[in-house]
Amino acid sequence: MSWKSGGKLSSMPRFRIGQIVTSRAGRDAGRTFVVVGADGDAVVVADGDLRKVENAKRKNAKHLVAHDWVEPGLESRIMSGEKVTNAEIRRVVEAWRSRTAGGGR
Amino acid sequence: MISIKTRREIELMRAAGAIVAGALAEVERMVAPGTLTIDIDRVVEEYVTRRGAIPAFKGFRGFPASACVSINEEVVHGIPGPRRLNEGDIVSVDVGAIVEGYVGDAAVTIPVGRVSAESLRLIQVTRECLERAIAACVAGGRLSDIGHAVQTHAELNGFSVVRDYVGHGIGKSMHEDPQVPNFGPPGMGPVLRPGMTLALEPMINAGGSQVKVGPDRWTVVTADGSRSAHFEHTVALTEDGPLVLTAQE
Repeated sequence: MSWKSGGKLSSMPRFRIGQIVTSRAGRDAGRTFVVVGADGDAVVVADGDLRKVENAKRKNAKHLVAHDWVEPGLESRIMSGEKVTNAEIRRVVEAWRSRTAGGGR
Repeated sequence: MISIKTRREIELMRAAGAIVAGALAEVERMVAPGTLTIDIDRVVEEYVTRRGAIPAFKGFRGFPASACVSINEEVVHGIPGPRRLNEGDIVSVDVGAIVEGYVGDAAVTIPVGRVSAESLRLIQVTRECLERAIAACVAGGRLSDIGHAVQTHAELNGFSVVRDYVGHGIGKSMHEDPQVPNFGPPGMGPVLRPGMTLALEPMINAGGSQVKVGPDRWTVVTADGSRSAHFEHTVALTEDGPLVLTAQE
């Protein structure tokens, strides 16, 4: 898959719902999360484990590393108000770990 | 930073590359007038996952499918769907797979049934551009030797080279440094060294080189509506010359 010359592949924003991120600050530094929403300038993340969907964490965008992977279909489901379970979020995080061969916590 | 891969890393990339090559061989067998592009995606996804690998594109920056399927004036990143291939089309299929965290990436352009002589020539010249790019992958050379080889061959044949999208380093991520343009003067850029792994992918247009992105924010099309072809291999530089990791048996 080709690379957009001089920049990003597509014109997507830095964070999208369903995107995999890694915290780089705070007690959860190094932990992998899925973006499940936005709240003002903050990005709302959950991992379905320590941070459940119903108690998702607001993170400063500067304190997150955005990865290239966005779970297909998650954005449209969350935007349409559909419930996403913690088990699903855990599966997304696990799938990311398998893609990166054990990267992240 | 350009990463240098160990022999074991290159072997894992070769395992991923073999799965990509096998998936593309399946696609070449199935392409015919009437084939749905979503069925191409389904065959690719099944082929990759049944061999224990992970489709590299699905979810990459939000791309929704396991294969990019781009028809005629579509250059790259076409999203598979309910569209049927027609006699005379040319279709580019791009596939990536991950094995133990390492990525293989390749693409082919396939004629659908009987196609025009000019389209066949575009496909042939683009394939030759990739062969020339691979031949330029020699330790001690410079990165821009690759693009120069592609541009020279394409333009001598009256075609143009896409500038806005380029090849790339590849390994633990699909996109690693360096970017690998398909154009430019020779003898510039980083020195090519054994252990570098690159995805070489000439995108050649029958008309002008300008492209634009379609309303789905993914599909790249030629600005003038002319046809485009795309071939890609993942290649490792070795002491003995370039090693194609996505070669078909």
